[in-house]
Amino acid sequence: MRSLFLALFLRDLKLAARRRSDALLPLAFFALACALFPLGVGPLPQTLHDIAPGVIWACALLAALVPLPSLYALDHADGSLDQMLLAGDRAALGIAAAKAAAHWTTHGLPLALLAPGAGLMLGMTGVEAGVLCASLLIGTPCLSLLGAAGAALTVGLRNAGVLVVVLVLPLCVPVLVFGAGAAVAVQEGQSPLAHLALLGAMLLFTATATPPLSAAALRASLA
Amino acid sequence: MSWLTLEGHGVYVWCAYGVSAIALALQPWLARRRRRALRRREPRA
Amino acid sequence: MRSRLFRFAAPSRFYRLAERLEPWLWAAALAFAAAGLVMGLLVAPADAVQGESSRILFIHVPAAWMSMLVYLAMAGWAAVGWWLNARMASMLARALAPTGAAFTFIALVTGALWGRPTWGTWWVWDARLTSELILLFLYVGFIALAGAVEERRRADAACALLAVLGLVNIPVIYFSVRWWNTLHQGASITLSAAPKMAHTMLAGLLLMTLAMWSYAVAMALSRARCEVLEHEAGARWLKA
Repeated sequence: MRSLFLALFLRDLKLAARRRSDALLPLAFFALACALFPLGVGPLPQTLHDIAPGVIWACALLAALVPLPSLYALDHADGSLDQMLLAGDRAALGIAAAKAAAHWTTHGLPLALLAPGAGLMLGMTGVEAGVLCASLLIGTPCLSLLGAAGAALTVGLRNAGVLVVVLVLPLCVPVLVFGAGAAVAVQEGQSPLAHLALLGAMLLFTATATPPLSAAALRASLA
Repeated sequence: MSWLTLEGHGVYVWCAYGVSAIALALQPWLARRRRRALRRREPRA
Repeated sequence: MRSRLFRFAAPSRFYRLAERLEPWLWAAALAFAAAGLVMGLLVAPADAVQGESSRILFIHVPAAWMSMLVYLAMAGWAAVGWWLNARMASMLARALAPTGAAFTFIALVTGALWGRPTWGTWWVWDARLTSELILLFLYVGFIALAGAVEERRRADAACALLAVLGLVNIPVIYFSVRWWNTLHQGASITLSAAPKMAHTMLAGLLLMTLAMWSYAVAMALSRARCEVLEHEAGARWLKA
């Protein structure tokens, strides 16, 4: 199963590297969405500074959800997903884990590294932006894991795109609350460690609980 | 029992119970309508 | 013994059982509600600080309790249906979902109507209200997924998985007032200490809870019958 995980993970990375524009689209979406807020709310530095953590986290969440429908779509369309599942019952677990890991490496990780830039654009200080980056580094894997579970549940359905967002967003709200809360804590002069610790706990929980559920969802969706 | 006369906070009490009553009464009625429509679809032998 | 346990897993037997039980449950719901409303609205005293708006307690709290309980039941039945491949259990789970969503909606709306005169605001983004709102979205997601998947077995499995994923939210709602400093008041009724409210208020609250519980079961059975009619269409026992 580990070899299946590695093989699928590296394959997805290779595919993302070949279709670089596809991989960069969610990042462009993230940047555009973040830019909407100063345009809509007004350029007052204090307001932007106060809402920056929440705005960036919310845009990161939405940007993580954008590539989800196509997570399994191409493999499902040409039948290779069915083929991979034939490898055995444990195969589904490897596939689910590999897809979540690939999603995070291609979308979550660059997002977390890009976020401090967005933070500075919205008037955050360096320390706050750093904490924001840390919270995203811990939080985006949770989003990838939960999103991959949602994608597994909705493989091949007709309005999978919007349905996956409706299903996954409520589950991601705690991650959003504590992720943004970490940076807000720094803004208020408190330690972000409590929020980051809770994020870490959520990561541990999703990393252990979600892949088996995703695997079961894959097997059910393609039974 | 001043809530009866709508004075003070009585209006909130009325709205709360009113909305709940509507939500609770609507459901069995809608279910019965759906059941009747489903039965009409089913041809009787 | 095992066959007795699964006796009502057959849609035909479940349908007839539901048909027979429903009138009693509706009657019980109405009776409990009448007693509870008399107790809560007429007999019990108004809160010393909040005044008459505290009467909303008797609809808000039972609805909120039921919103959580129905989710647990829904997830439980969905899991049973998926695990044991019993489609009647999955149908029951799908029947519970709109009922639970309605209770969540009632809890949120009555809570807002209670919050306005007492806290001065319709809504606040504290832990309890936010997690109850998330519960509403979880119900909506469950209903959406059940409607989006056409193949029954896949729908049953997918809904079961989704319901289990969302189970984490229920303890969050319940313990939110203990874990965080929230605007919402803390627990007045705990298992370890005497309740901190007047006896008549407690009686009214418990009666209304029983009324809501009977309503929930009756409504679930009613909707389950609709599910049976829809998905067992063409079965011989239906044509009889």
